[in-house]
Amino acid sequence: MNAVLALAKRNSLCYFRDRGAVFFSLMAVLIVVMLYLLFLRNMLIDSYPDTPGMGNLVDAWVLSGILGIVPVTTSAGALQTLVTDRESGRIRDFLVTPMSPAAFAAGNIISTFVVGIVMSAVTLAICLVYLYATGCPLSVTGAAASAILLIPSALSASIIMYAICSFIRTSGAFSGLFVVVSVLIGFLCGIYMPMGTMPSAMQTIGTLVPASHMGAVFRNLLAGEAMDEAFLGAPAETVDAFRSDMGFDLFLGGFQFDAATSLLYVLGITAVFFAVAVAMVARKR
Amino acid sequence: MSAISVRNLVKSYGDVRAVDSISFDVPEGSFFAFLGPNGAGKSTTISIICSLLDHDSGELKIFGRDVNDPDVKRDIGVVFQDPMMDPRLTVRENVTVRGCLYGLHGSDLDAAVGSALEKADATDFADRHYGKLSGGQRRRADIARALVHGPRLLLLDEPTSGLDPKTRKHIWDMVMGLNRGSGMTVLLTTHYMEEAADADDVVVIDGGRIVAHGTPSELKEEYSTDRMTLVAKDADEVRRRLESEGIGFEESRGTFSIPLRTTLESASIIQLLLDIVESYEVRMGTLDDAFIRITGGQGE
Repeated sequence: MNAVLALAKRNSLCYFRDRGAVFFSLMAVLIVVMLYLLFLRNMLIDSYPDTPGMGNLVDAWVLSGILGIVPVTTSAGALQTLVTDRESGRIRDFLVTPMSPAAFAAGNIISTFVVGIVMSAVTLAICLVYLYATGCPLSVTGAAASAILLIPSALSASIIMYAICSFIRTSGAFSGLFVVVSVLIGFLCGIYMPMGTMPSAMQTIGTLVPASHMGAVFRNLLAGEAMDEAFLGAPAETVDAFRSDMGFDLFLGGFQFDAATSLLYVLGITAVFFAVAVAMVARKR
Repeated sequence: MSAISVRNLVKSYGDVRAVDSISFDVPEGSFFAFLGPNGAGKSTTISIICSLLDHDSGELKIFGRDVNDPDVKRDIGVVFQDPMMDPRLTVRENVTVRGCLYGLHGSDLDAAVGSALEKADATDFADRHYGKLSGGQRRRADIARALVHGPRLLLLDEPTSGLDPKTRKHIWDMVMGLNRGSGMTVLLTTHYMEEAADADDVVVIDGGRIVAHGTPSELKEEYSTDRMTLVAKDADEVRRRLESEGIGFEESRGTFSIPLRTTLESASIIQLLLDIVESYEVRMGTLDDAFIRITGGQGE
Protein backbone atom coordinates (compact mmCIF):
# COMPACT_ATOMS: atom_id res chain seq x y z
CA MET A 1 0.00 0.00 0.00
CA ASN A 2 1.47 3.35 -0.85
CA ALA A 3 1.92 6.24 1.54
CA VAL A 4 -1.09 8.28 0.36
CA LEU A 5 -3.49 5.36 0.73
CA ALA A 6 -1.96 4.38 4.07
CA LEU A 7 -2.59 7.85 5.42
CA ALA A 8 -6.13 7.81 3.97
CA LYS A 9 -6.81 4.48 5.63
CA ARG A 10 -5.46 5.71 8.95
CA ASN A 11 -7.66 8.83 8.88
CA SER A 12 -10.76 6.84 7.92
CA LEU A 13 -10.12 4.35 10.75
CA CYS A 14 -9.67 7.22 13.21
CA TYR A 15 -13.10 8.52 12.22
CA PHE A 16 -15.03 5.26 12.09
CA ARG A 17 -13.58 4.01 15.38
CA ASP A 18 -14.60 7.20 17.15
CA ARG A 19 -18.31 6.53 17.71
CA GLY A 20 -18.79 10.02 19.12
CA ALA A 21 -17.37 11.60 15.97
CA VAL A 22 -19.64 9.48 13.77
CA PHE A 23 -22.69 10.32 15.89
CA PHE A 24 -22.05 14.06 15.95
CA SER A 25 -21.31 14.20 12.24
CA LEU A 26 -24.84 12.83 11.74
CA MET A 27 -26.33 15.35 14.17
CA ALA A 28 -27.75 17.52 11.38
CA VAL A 29 -29.44 14.45 9.93
CA LEU A 30 -30.95 13.53 13.29
CA ILE A 31 -32.27 17.07 13.70
CA VAL A 32 -33.88 16.91 10.27
CA VAL A 33 -35.45 13.54 10.99
CA MET A 34 -36.82 14.75 14.31
CA LEU A 35 -38.22 18.01 12.94
CA TYR A 36 -39.72 16.12 10.07
CA LEU A 37 -41.40 13.48 12.16
CA LEU A 38 -42.59 15.95 14.81
CA PHE A 39 -44.37 18.38 12.55
CA LEU A 40 -42.93 19.05 9.09
CA ARG A 41 -44.37 15.86 7.61
CA ASN A 42 -47.92 16.51 8.75
CA MET A 43 -47.70 20.16 7.82
CA LEU A 44 -46.65 19.32 4.27
CA ILE A 45 -49.28 16.61 3.84
CA ASP A 46 -52.01 18.94 5.17
CA SER A 47 -51.06 21.71 2.78
CA TYR A 48 -51.81 19.47 -0.20
CA PRO A 49 -55.23 17.99 0.58
CA ASP A 50 -56.88 15.72 -1.93
CA THR A 51 -53.47 14.59 -3.17
CA PRO A 52 -53.08 10.81 -2.80
CA GLY A 53 -49.64 9.42 -2.02
CA MET A 54 -48.47 12.70 -0.50
CA GLY A 55 -46.98 10.82 2.47
CA ASN A 56 -44.73 8.81 0.17
CA LEU A 57 -43.79 11.90 -1.78
CA VAL A 58 -42.70 14.00 1.21
CA ASP A 59 -40.84 11.00 2.68
CA ALA A 60 -38.89 10.62 -0.54
CA TRP A 61 -38.41 14.39 -0.62
CA VAL A 62 -36.88 14.66 2.86
CA LEU A 63 -34.70 11.57 2.42
CA SER A 64 -33.29 12.94 -0.85
CA GLY A 65 -32.45 16.19 0.89
CA ILE A 66 -30.71 14.30 3.68
CA LEU A 67 -28.71 12.39 1.10
CA GLY A 68 -27.50 15.76 -0.19
CA ILE A 69 -26.15 16.93 3.20
CA VAL A 70 -24.75 13.67 4.63
CA PRO A 71 -21.43 13.91 2.75
CA VAL A 72 -21.02 17.52 3.92
CA THR A 73 -21.42 16.85 7.63
CA THR A 74 -19.56 13.52 7.61
CA SER A 75 -16.65 15.03 5.64
CA ALA A 76 -16.43 17.69 8.29
CA GLY A 77 -16.43 14.99 10.97
CA ALA A 78 -13.64 13.11 9.20
CA LEU A 79 -11.52 16.26 9.00
CA GLN A 80 -11.48 16.47 12.76
CA THR A 81 -8.53 14.05 12.70
CA LEU A 82 -6.53 16.49 10.59
CA VAL A 83 -7.36 19.45 12.81
CA THR A 84 -6.47 17.46 15.94
CA ASP A 85 -3.19 16.34 14.35
CA ARG A 86 -2.29 19.96 13.74
CA GLU A 87 -3.31 21.26 17.12
CA SER A 88 -1.76 18.50 19.21
CA GLY A 89 1.46 18.55 17.18
CA ARG A 90 0.94 14.91 16.19
CA ILE A 91 1.39 16.11 12.64
CA ARG A 92 5.13 16.19 13.44
CA ASP A 93 5.15 12.42 13.38
CA PHE A 94 4.15 12.64 9.70
CA LEU A 95 6.39 15.57 8.87
CA VAL A 96 9.50 13.60 9.89
CA THR A 97 8.68 11.01 7.22
CA PRO A 98 9.78 11.50 3.60
CA MET A 99 6.14 12.07 2.57
CA SER A 100 5.68 15.26 0.50
CA PRO A 101 3.15 17.94 1.53
CA ALA A 102 1.15 17.21 -1.64
CA ALA A 103 0.97 13.51 -0.79
CA PHE A 104 -0.05 14.40 2.75
CA ALA A 105 -2.87 16.62 1.44
CA ALA A 106 -3.94 13.94 -1.03
CA GLY A 107 -4.17 11.36 1.76
CA ASN A 108 -6.33 13.69 3.81
CA ILE A 109 -8.66 14.49 0.92
CA ILE A 110 -9.01 10.83 -0.02
CA SER A 111 -9.93 9.82 3.54
CA THR A 112 -12.45 12.64 3.73
CA PHE A 113 -13.92 11.45 0.44
CA VAL A 114 -14.00 7.83 1.61
CA VAL A 115 -15.86 8.78 4.79
CA GLY A 116 -18.29 10.94 2.78
CA ILE A 117 -19.05 8.25 0.23
CA VAL A 118 -19.34 5.38 2.72
CA MET A 119 -21.73 7.36 4.91
CA SER A 120 -23.71 8.51 1.82
CA ALA A 121 -23.95 4.97 0.52
CA VAL A 122 -25.26 3.75 3.87
CA THR A 123 -27.76 6.61 3.88
CA LEU A 124 -28.89 5.82 0.34
CA ALA A 125 -29.34 2.15 1.23
CA ILE A 126 -31.44 3.04 4.27
CA CYS A 127 -33.53 5.48 2.18
CA LEU A 128 -34.19 2.93 -0.55
CA VAL A 129 -35.12 0.20 1.92
CA TYR A 130 -37.45 2.55 3.79
CA LEU A 131 -39.11 3.91 0.65
CA TYR A 132 -39.51 0.45 -0.81
CA ALA A 133 -40.94 -0.91 2.42
CA THR A 134 -43.48 1.92 2.68
CA GLY A 135 -44.61 1.36 -0.90
CA CYS A 136 -43.21 4.57 -2.34
CA PRO A 137 -43.02 4.40 -6.13
CA LEU A 138 -39.38 4.29 -7.20
CA SER A 139 -37.64 3.90 -10.52
CA VAL A 140 -34.68 1.55 -10.81
CA THR A 141 -32.85 4.01 -13.05
CA GLY A 142 -33.43 6.78 -10.50
CA ALA A 143 -31.97 4.66 -7.72
CA ALA A 144 -29.01 3.56 -9.86
CA ALA A 145 -28.29 7.12 -11.02
CA SER A 146 -28.42 8.31 -7.40
CA ALA A 147 -25.87 5.68 -6.45
CA ILE A 148 -23.52 6.87 -9.20
CA LEU A 149 -24.02 10.52 -8.29
CA LEU A 150 -22.88 9.83 -4.75
CA ILE A 151 -19.37 10.08 -6.22
CA PRO A 152 -19.50 13.73 -7.35
CA SER A 153 -21.57 14.53 -4.27
CA ALA A 154 -18.98 13.13 -1.83
CA LEU A 155 -16.06 14.44 -3.89
CA SER A 156 -17.32 18.02 -3.88
CA ALA A 157 -18.23 17.90 -0.18
CA SER A 158 -14.82 16.51 0.82
CA ILE A 159 -12.80 18.96 -1.27
CA ILE A 160 -14.81 21.99 -0.17
CA MET A 161 -14.69 21.02 3.50
CA TYR A 162 -10.97 20.20 3.24
CA ALA A 163 -10.26 23.63 1.73
CA ILE A 164 -12.20 25.36 4.49
CA CYS A 165 -10.47 23.30 7.18
CA SER A 166 -7.03 24.18 5.85
CA PHE A 167 -7.60 27.63 7.39
CA ILE A 168 -8.45 26.15 10.78
CA ARG A 169 -5.77 25.68 13.40
CA THR A 170 -7.55 24.79 16.65
CA SER A 171 -10.17 22.30 17.78
CA GLY A 172 -12.16 25.17 19.24
CA ALA A 173 -12.44 26.89 15.88
CA PHE A 174 -13.21 23.56 14.27
CA SER A 175 -16.06 22.80 16.69
CA GLY A 176 -17.48 26.23 15.98
CA LEU A 177 -17.35 25.67 12.26
CA PHE A 178 -18.79 22.23 12.65
CA VAL A 179 -21.82 23.47 14.59
CA VAL A 180 -22.43 26.29 12.10
CA VAL A 181 -22.21 23.91 9.15
CA SER A 182 -24.46 21.33 10.80
CA VAL A 183 -27.13 23.88 11.64
CA LEU A 184 -27.00 25.97 8.48
CA ILE A 185 -26.77 23.20 5.93
CA GLY A 186 -30.29 21.97 6.72
CA PHE A 187 -31.68 25.45 6.18
CA LEU A 188 -29.62 26.35 3.14
CA CYS A 189 -30.50 23.15 1.33
CA GLY A 190 -34.20 23.65 2.04
CA ILE A 191 -34.69 20.61 4.28
CA TYR A 192 -35.72 22.10 7.63
CA MET A 193 -38.30 24.02 5.66
CA PRO A 194 -39.02 23.88 1.95
CA MET A 195 -37.11 26.29 -0.31
CA GLY A 196 -40.31 28.08 -1.34
CA THR A 197 -41.21 29.09 2.22
CA MET A 198 -37.90 30.92 2.77
CA PRO A 199 -37.35 34.62 2.00
CA SER A 200 -35.94 35.15 -1.47
CA ALA A 201 -32.50 36.24 -0.22
CA MET A 202 -32.19 32.98 1.73
CA GLN A 203 -33.29 31.09 -1.37
CA THR A 204 -30.52 32.72 -3.38
CA ILE A 205 -27.90 31.93 -0.75
CA GLY A 206 -29.21 28.39 -0.47
CA THR A 207 -29.02 27.93 -4.21
CA LEU A 208 -25.35 28.95 -4.14
CA VAL A 209 -24.55 26.02 -1.85
CA PRO A 210 -23.46 23.00 -3.91
CA ALA A 211 -25.18 20.55 -1.55
CA SER A 212 -28.54 22.15 -2.46
CA HIS A 213 -27.94 21.18 -6.06
CA MET A 214 -27.09 17.62 -5.13
CA GLY A 215 -30.26 17.59 -3.02
CA ALA A 216 -32.34 18.81 -5.98
CA VAL A 217 -30.83 16.19 -8.28
CA PHE A 218 -31.49 13.43 -5.73
CA ARG A 219 -35.08 14.66 -5.24
CA ASN A 220 -35.78 14.36 -8.94
CA LEU A 221 -34.25 10.90 -9.09
CA LEU A 222 -35.74 9.44 -5.91
CA ALA A 223 -38.99 11.38 -5.45
CA GLY A 224 -39.79 11.93 -9.14
CA GLU A 225 -41.93 8.82 -9.50
CA ALA A 226 -43.86 9.56 -6.33
CA MET A 227 -44.49 13.09 -7.56
CA ASP A 228 -45.72 11.96 -10.96
CA GLU A 229 -48.10 9.58 -9.25
CA ALA A 230 -49.36 12.09 -6.67
CA PHE A 231 -49.95 14.83 -9.24
CA LEU A 232 -51.34 12.57 -11.96
CA GLY A 233 -53.76 14.67 -13.99
CA ALA A 234 -53.07 17.83 -11.99
CA PRO A 235 -52.67 21.11 -13.86
CA ALA A 236 -49.13 21.97 -14.96
CA GLU A 237 -49.06 25.16 -12.82
CA THR A 238 -49.72 23.13 -9.65
CA VAL A 239 -46.87 20.77 -10.47
CA ASP A 240 -44.49 23.60 -11.35
CA ALA A 241 -45.32 25.46 -8.15
CA PHE A 242 -44.70 22.32 -6.10
CA ARG A 243 -41.41 21.67 -7.89
CA SER A 244 -40.01 25.10 -7.18
CA ASP A 245 -41.46 25.33 -3.64
CA MET A 246 -39.99 22.00 -2.61
CA GLY A 247 -36.63 22.53 -4.27
CA PHE A 248 -36.93 20.10 -7.15
CA ASP A 249 -36.19 23.01 -9.46
CA LEU A 250 -33.61 25.58 -8.43
CA PHE A 251 -33.46 29.10 -9.81
CA LEU A 252 -30.73 31.69 -9.71
CA GLY A 253 -31.89 35.03 -11.06
CA GLY A 254 -33.96 33.97 -14.04
CA PHE A 255 -31.91 30.86 -14.71
CA GLN A 256 -33.42 27.47 -14.06
CA PHE A 257 -31.02 24.63 -13.29
CA ASP A 258 -31.55 21.13 -14.60
CA ALA A 259 -29.59 18.04 -13.54
CA ALA A 260 -26.74 18.70 -15.98
CA THR A 261 -26.28 22.39 -15.13
CA SER A 262 -26.57 21.62 -11.41
CA LEU A 263 -23.79 19.04 -11.66
CA LEU A 264 -21.67 21.43 -13.71
CA TYR A 265 -22.19 24.11 -11.09
CA VAL A 266 -21.19 21.70 -8.29
CA LEU A 267 -18.06 20.62 -10.13
CA GLY A 268 -17.15 24.24 -10.94
CA ILE A 269 -17.40 25.33 -7.30
CA THR A 270 -15.46 22.23 -6.28
CA ALA A 271 -12.68 23.16 -8.72
CA VAL A 272 -12.44 26.62 -7.14
CA PHE A 273 -12.10 25.14 -3.65
CA PHE A 274 -9.61 22.61 -4.95
CA ALA A 275 -7.47 25.50 -6.19
CA VAL A 276 -7.72 27.10 -2.74
CA ALA A 277 -6.66 23.84 -1.09
CA VAL A 278 -3.68 23.47 -3.45
CA ALA A 279 -2.66 27.07 -2.79
CA MET A 280 -2.79 26.44 0.97
CA VAL A 281 -0.65 23.31 0.64
CA ALA A 282 1.86 25.15 -1.57
CA ARG A 283 1.99 28.13 0.79
CA LYS A 284 2.92 25.95 3.75
CA ARG A 285 6.01 24.66 2.03
CA MET B 1 32.06 9.83 9.41
CA SER B 2 29.97 11.78 11.89
CA ALA B 3 26.33 10.83 12.23
CA ILE B 4 25.56 14.44 13.05
CA SER B 5 27.82 17.37 12.42
CA VAL B 6 26.67 20.78 13.61
CA ARG B 7 28.54 24.00 12.91
CA ASN B 8 27.50 27.39 14.29
CA LEU B 9 23.83 26.53 14.28
CA VAL B 10 21.55 29.49 14.99
CA LYS B 11 17.79 29.63 15.42
CA SER B 12 15.95 32.67 16.73
CA TYR B 13 12.33 33.26 17.61
CA GLY B 14 11.98 37.02 17.28
CA ASP B 15 14.58 38.47 19.62
CA VAL B 16 15.15 35.24 21.49
CA ARG B 17 18.08 33.15 20.34
CA ALA B 18 16.81 29.68 21.16
CA VAL B 19 19.90 28.12 19.65
CA ASP B 20 22.89 30.42 19.72
CA SER B 21 25.70 29.28 17.48
CA ILE B 22 26.29 25.76 18.71
CA SER B 23 28.72 23.26 17.18
CA PHE B 24 29.22 19.59 17.98
CA ASP B 25 29.80 16.23 16.33
CA VAL B 26 28.11 12.95 17.08
CA PRO B 27 30.38 10.12 15.93
CA GLU B 28 28.63 7.25 14.16
CA GLY B 29 27.69 4.50 16.58
CA SER B 30 28.02 6.64 19.67
CA PHE B 31 25.60 7.31 22.48
CA PHE B 32 25.20 11.02 22.84
CA ALA B 33 23.36 12.81 25.63
CA PHE B 34 22.02 16.29 25.27
CA LEU B 35 21.46 17.86 28.63
CA GLY B 36 20.00 21.08 29.82
CA PRO B 37 17.33 22.67 31.93
CA ASN B 38 13.89 23.21 30.39
CA GLY B 39 13.89 25.89 27.73
CA ALA B 40 17.63 25.53 27.14
CA GLY B 41 17.17 24.84 23.41
CA LYS B 42 17.33 21.04 23.44
CA SER B 43 14.02 20.44 21.75
CA THR B 44 14.65 23.20 19.23
CA THR B 45 17.93 21.55 18.25
CA ILE B 46 16.23 18.15 17.94
CA SER B 47 13.50 19.70 15.78
CA ILE B 48 16.11 21.19 13.48
CA ILE B 49 17.94 17.88 13.20
CA CYS B 50 14.76 16.05 12.14
CA SER B 51 13.90 18.93 9.75
CA LEU B 52 10.73 20.03 11.52
CA LEU B 53 12.26 23.49 11.88
CA ASP B 54 14.46 25.48 9.55
CA HIS B 55 17.57 26.98 11.04
CA ASP B 56 18.56 30.60 10.47
CA SER B 57 22.23 30.02 9.81
CA GLY B 58 25.01 27.53 10.29
CA GLU B 59 25.59 24.10 8.85
CA LEU B 60 23.98 20.80 9.79
CA LYS B 61 24.96 17.53 8.16
CA ILE B 62 23.46 14.11 8.86
CA PHE B 63 25.72 11.26 7.73
CA GLY B 64 27.49 13.75 5.48
CA ARG B 65 24.33 15.01 3.78
CA ASP B 66 22.68 18.38 4.22
CA VAL B 67 19.73 18.20 6.61
CA ASN B 68 17.34 19.41 3.88
CA ASP B 69 18.15 16.45 1.64
CA PRO B 70 14.85 14.49 1.68
CA ASP B 71 16.70 11.17 1.95
CA VAL B 72 18.04 12.22 5.33
CA LYS B 73 14.61 11.53 6.82
CA ARG B 74 15.02 7.83 6.06
CA ASP B 75 18.11 7.70 8.26
CA ILE B 76 16.42 9.23 11.29
CA GLY B 77 14.00 7.69 13.74
CA VAL B 78 12.38 10.07 16.21
CA VAL B 79 10.80 9.40 19.58
CA PHE B 80 8.91 12.50 20.61
CA GLN B 81 8.23 13.53 24.15
CA ASP B 82 4.44 13.50 23.70
CA PRO B 83 2.35 10.59 22.46
CA MET B 84 2.13 10.83 18.68
CA MET B 85 0.13 7.82 17.59
CA ASP B 86 -3.60 7.28 17.28
CA PRO B 87 -5.32 6.11 20.46
CA ARG B 88 -8.02 4.11 18.68
CA LEU B 89 -5.63 2.20 16.47
CA THR B 90 -3.62 -0.76 17.72
CA VAL B 91 0.12 -0.45 18.11
CA ARG B 92 0.62 -2.69 15.09
CA GLU B 93 -1.78 -0.63 12.94
CA ASN B 94 -0.07 2.58 13.99
CA VAL B 95 3.42 1.28 13.29
CA THR B 96 2.29 -0.23 9.96
CA VAL B 97 0.85 3.09 8.79
CA ARG B 98 4.12 4.85 9.64
CA GLY B 99 6.07 2.13 7.82
CA CYS B 100 3.99 2.80 4.67
CA LEU B 101 4.84 6.48 4.87
CA TYR B 102 8.51 5.53 4.48
CA GLY B 103 7.64 3.61 1.32
CA LEU B 104 7.62 0.12 2.80
CA HIS B 105 4.99 -2.29 1.50
CA GLY B 106 3.94 -5.93 1.24
CA SER B 107 5.98 -8.56 3.05
CA ASP B 108 8.87 -6.12 3.61
CA LEU B 109 6.50 -3.95 5.59
CA ASP B 110 5.18 -6.82 7.70
CA ALA B 111 8.72 -7.97 8.42
CA ALA B 112 9.86 -4.45 9.31
CA VAL B 113 6.90 -3.93 11.65
CA GLY B 114 7.47 -7.31 13.31
CA SER B 115 11.16 -6.65 13.81
CA ALA B 116 10.63 -3.11 15.13
CA LEU B 117 8.04 -4.35 17.63
CA GLU B 118 10.42 -7.07 18.75
CA LYS B 119 13.41 -4.75 19.16
CA ALA B 120 11.29 -2.37 21.22
CA ASP B 121 9.89 -5.24 23.27
CA ALA B 122 6.37 -4.23 22.20
CA THR B 123 5.17 -7.53 20.72
CA ASP B 124 3.09 -8.48 23.79
CA PHE B 125 0.73 -5.57 23.42
CA ALA B 126 1.02 -5.03 19.65
CA ASP B 127 -2.67 -5.69 19.10
CA ARG B 128 -3.95 -3.44 21.84
CA HIS B 129 -5.13 0.10 21.25
CA TYR B 130 -2.37 2.66 21.68
CA GLY B 131 -4.64 4.82 23.85
CA LYS B 132 -5.07 1.99 26.36
CA LEU B 133 -1.37 1.41 27.04
CA SER B 134 0.50 2.27 30.23
CA GLY B 135 3.18 4.96 30.09
CA GLY B 136 6.02 2.46 29.73
CA GLN B 137 4.24 0.41 27.06
CA ARG B 138 3.43 3.55 25.13
CA ARG B 139 7.06 4.56 25.17
CA ARG B 140 8.06 1.13 23.85
CA ALA B 141 5.45 1.48 21.11
CA ASP B 142 6.90 4.92 20.26
CA ILE B 143 10.35 3.37 20.00
CA ALA B 144 9.00 0.61 17.73
CA ARG B 145 7.51 3.31 15.50
CA ALA B 146 10.85 5.14 15.39
CA LEU B 147 12.63 1.92 14.36
CA VAL B 148 10.18 0.72 11.70
CA HIS B 149 12.10 2.08 8.71
CA GLY B 150 15.49 0.91 9.98
CA PRO B 151 17.07 4.28 10.77
CA ARG B 152 20.81 4.64 11.46
CA LEU B 153 20.24 7.47 13.90
CA LEU B 154 17.74 7.41 16.73
CA LEU B 155 16.67 10.72 18.31
CA LEU B 156 14.82 10.61 21.61
CA ASP B 157 13.40 13.69 23.25
CA GLU B 158 13.27 13.00 26.98
CA PRO B 159 12.34 9.36 26.51
CA THR B 160 12.13 8.63 30.22
CA SER B 161 10.27 11.67 31.52
CA GLY B 162 7.13 10.84 33.44
CA LEU B 163 8.00 7.16 33.89
CA ASP B 164 8.44 5.31 37.16
CA PRO B 165 12.04 4.34 38.06
CA LYS B 166 11.69 0.69 37.08
CA THR B 167 10.17 1.47 33.68
CA ARG B 168 12.75 4.18 33.20
CA LYS B 169 15.53 1.69 33.64
CA HIS B 170 13.85 -0.75 31.28
CA ILE B 171 13.53 1.88 28.54
CA TRP B 172 17.05 3.06 29.20
CA ASP B 173 18.52 -0.44 28.95
CA MET B 174 16.63 -1.03 25.71
CA VAL B 175 17.96 2.15 24.11
CA MET B 176 21.42 1.31 25.40
CA GLY B 177 21.07 -2.15 23.86
CA LEU B 178 20.11 -0.71 20.47
CA ASN B 179 23.27 1.37 20.58
CA ARG B 180 25.70 -1.20 21.97
CA GLY B 181 24.13 -4.18 20.24
CA SER B 182 23.41 -2.98 16.72
CA GLY B 183 25.64 0.08 16.55
CA MET B 184 22.79 2.52 16.06
CA THR B 185 23.78 6.10 16.79
CA VAL B 186 21.66 7.46 19.63
CA LEU B 187 21.15 11.08 20.55
CA LEU B 188 18.85 11.80 23.42
CA THR B 189 17.87 14.68 25.58
CA THR B 190 17.28 14.27 29.26
CA HIS B 191 17.36 16.20 32.45
CA TYR B 192 18.10 13.14 34.53
CA MET B 193 21.81 13.43 35.14
CA GLU B 194 22.32 9.87 36.30
CA GLU B 195 21.13 8.66 32.89
CA ALA B 196 23.77 10.65 31.10
CA ALA B 197 26.41 8.80 33.13
CA ASP B 198 26.28 5.92 30.63
CA ALA B 199 26.66 8.12 27.56
CA ASP B 200 29.82 8.29 25.46
CA ASP B 201 29.55 12.00 25.21
CA VAL B 202 27.57 14.66 27.02
CA VAL B 203 26.74 18.14 25.81
CA VAL B 204 25.24 20.52 28.31
CA ILE B 205 23.26 23.33 26.76
CA ASP B 206 21.89 26.35 28.55
CA GLY B 207 20.38 29.51 27.14
CA GLY B 208 20.93 28.18 23.62
CA ARG B 209 24.67 27.78 24.07
CA ILE B 210 26.87 24.80 24.79
CA VAL B 211 28.23 25.38 28.28
CA ALA B 212 30.05 22.08 28.71
CA HIS B 213 31.03 19.15 26.53
CA GLY B 214 32.86 15.97 27.43
CA THR B 215 32.57 12.41 28.64
CA PRO B 216 30.64 11.95 31.87
CA SER B 217 33.87 11.40 33.84
CA GLU B 218 35.50 14.47 32.33
CA LEU B 219 32.51 16.58 33.33
CA LYS B 220 32.52 15.13 36.82
CA GLU B 221 36.23 15.75 37.10
CA GLU B 222 35.96 19.32 35.98
CA TYR B 223 32.74 20.53 37.53
CA SER B 224 31.96 18.53 40.61
CA THR B 225 33.78 18.42 43.93
CA ASP B 226 34.16 15.62 46.42
CA ARG B 227 32.81 16.62 49.75
CA MET B 228 33.02 15.60 53.37
CA THR B 229 30.12 16.11 55.73
CA LEU B 230 30.53 15.79 59.48
CA VAL B 231 28.32 16.17 62.51
CA ALA B 232 30.15 17.85 65.38
CA LYS B 233 30.01 17.02 69.10
CA ASP B 234 31.46 20.42 69.83
CA ALA B 235 30.69 22.79 66.99
CA ASP B 236 32.71 25.71 68.37
CA GLU B 237 35.83 23.60 68.71
CA VAL B 238 35.43 22.11 65.22
CA ARG B 239 35.03 25.60 63.79
CA ARG B 240 38.11 26.83 65.67
CA ARG B 241 40.35 23.96 64.55
CA LEU B 242 39.22 24.16 60.89
CA GLU B 243 39.78 27.91 60.82
CA SER B 244 43.24 27.61 62.38
CA GLU B 245 44.21 25.03 59.71
CA GLY B 246 42.80 27.27 56.98
CA ILE B 247 40.29 24.68 55.72
CA GLY B 248 37.22 26.13 54.00
CA PHE B 249 33.83 24.87 55.18
CA GLU B 250 30.13 25.61 55.30
CA GLU B 251 28.23 25.16 58.52
CA SER B 252 24.60 24.56 59.16
CA ARG B 253 23.22 23.62 62.60
CA GLY B 254 26.22 21.69 63.80
CA THR B 255 26.79 19.99 60.46
CA PHE B 256 29.94 20.95 58.57
CA SER B 257 30.40 20.53 54.86
CA ILE B 258 33.97 20.63 53.59
CA PRO B 259 34.90 20.60 49.88
CA LEU B 260 37.79 18.25 49.09
CA ARG B 261 40.24 18.13 46.22
CA THR B 262 40.31 14.35 46.50
CA THR B 263 38.51 11.98 48.84
CA LEU B 264 41.91 11.05 50.38
CA GLU B 265 42.15 14.52 51.86
CA SER B 266 39.43 13.53 54.31
CA ALA B 267 41.87 11.28 56.21
CA SER B 268 43.96 14.14 57.53
CA ILE B 269 40.92 16.21 58.41
CA ILE B 270 39.33 13.39 60.37
CA GLN B 271 42.56 12.87 62.28
CA LEU B 272 42.48 16.52 63.20
CA LEU B 273 38.90 16.34 64.49
CA LEU B 274 38.51 12.72 65.57
CA ASP B 275 37.77 13.44 69.26
CA ILE B 276 35.10 16.09 68.67
CA VAL B 277 33.13 14.54 65.80
CA GLU B 278 29.94 12.51 66.16
CA SER B 279 29.92 11.01 62.63
CA TYR B 280 31.15 11.79 59.15
CA GLU B 281 30.57 10.96 55.52
CA VAL B 282 32.75 11.36 52.43
CA ARG B 283 30.97 11.65 49.10
CA MET B 284 32.42 11.66 45.59
CA GLY B 285 31.20 14.41 43.28
CA THR B 286 28.26 13.36 41.12
CA LEU B 287 27.13 14.31 37.67
CA ASP B 288 24.19 16.03 39.33
CA ASP B 289 26.59 18.36 41.14
CA ALA B 290 28.36 18.99 37.86
CA PHE B 291 25.08 19.76 36.10
CA ILE B 292 23.99 22.20 38.77
CA ARG B 293 27.41 23.86 38.74
CA ILE B 294 27.39 24.13 34.95
CA THR B 295 23.90 25.52 34.59
CA GLY B 296 24.25 27.82 37.58
CA GLY B 297 21.69 25.92 39.60
CA GLN B 298 18.81 27.36 37.62
CA GLY B 299 17.54 24.08 36.29
CA GLU B 300 14.64 22.10 37.61
